[in-house]
Amino acid sequence: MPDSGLSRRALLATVATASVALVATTAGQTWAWLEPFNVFAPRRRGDGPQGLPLNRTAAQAGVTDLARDPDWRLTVAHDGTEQAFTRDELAAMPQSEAVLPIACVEGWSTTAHWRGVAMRDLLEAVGAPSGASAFITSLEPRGAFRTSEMGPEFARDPLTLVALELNGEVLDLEHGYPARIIAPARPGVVQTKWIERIEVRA
Amino acid sequence: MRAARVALVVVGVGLALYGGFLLFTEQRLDQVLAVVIWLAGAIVLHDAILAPASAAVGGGLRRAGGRMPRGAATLIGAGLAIGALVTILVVPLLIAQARGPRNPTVLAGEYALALAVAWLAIAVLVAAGVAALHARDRRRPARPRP
Repeated sequence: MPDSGLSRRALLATVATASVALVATTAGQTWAWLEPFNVFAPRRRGDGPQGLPLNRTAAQAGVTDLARDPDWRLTVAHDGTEQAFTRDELAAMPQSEAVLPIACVEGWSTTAHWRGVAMRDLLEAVGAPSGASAFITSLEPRGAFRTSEMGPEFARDPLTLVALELNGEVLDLEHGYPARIIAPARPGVVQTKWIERIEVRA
Repeated sequence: MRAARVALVVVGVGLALYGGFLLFTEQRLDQVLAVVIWLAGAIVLHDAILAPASAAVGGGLRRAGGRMPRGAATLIGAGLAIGALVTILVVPLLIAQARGPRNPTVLAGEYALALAVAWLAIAVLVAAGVAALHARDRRRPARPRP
């Protein structure tokens, strides 16, 4: 019946072909083996400082000067006391490594190699109990994601880091220098960059 | 078969109801309104643009179909549909690119060029398919048209 329009089989074949074509030309922003065919995705895999795309630059966040300030300290507050760490002091603590992705809710994700102080080691250093949550504040003066909170399931995870290095180099300013959060299984927007304060909450 | 269909309907309706329940219990009223506007936009886009356009193209193909090999109109229709879907995906990228991307790692692609190449590839494949159908009909011309 050629006059009745597209047959069901032809319609299904058309939709299937279009789906395959669209996946093949966009999923390469995340999947390495489709990378050569990525022509329609908003991101390109590995395109960005230190091989990692960006969502928000230091200039957009308004932290360029604050993050470069030599007087920067990471303050960890617990039980009425505050302890401030310089970047060198953090780097002198036992370092942990993690291979974790920035998984952006915009649709891209890129895995990277991170190195820094394990959050649980840092919390232990200030005497926080093992079931504590962490409330993290960024240097960012404003913005919906200048703070983030992680429950004990993340704060205790050995892969959750206060990261100082990315892919074997000092963390780029755009990726959160002097220090940022990286934790497994969390959306990119709560992997807070340019952190300045961690509050322990029991 | 019937049991499988009933099971699929029950699962589908159940999931939709659960989604609706989450929408109204987990979201603020302005967020629910935004969802309603988004869904209404899809209906307007479909009824005002997609349906008339596809009806016009389909009518044109049916009129031309008599002069083409069997199946050619279907192939051309499929090519146009795939091209339209790709275009719908790419147009927002072009608009965002024209507005100026947030940083150099966003929207770095040559989307207009890639879209042109995609349409060209679709045209070439459809033309090759129609040519193959034509060749098939010339080898077996006896089959009557229904």
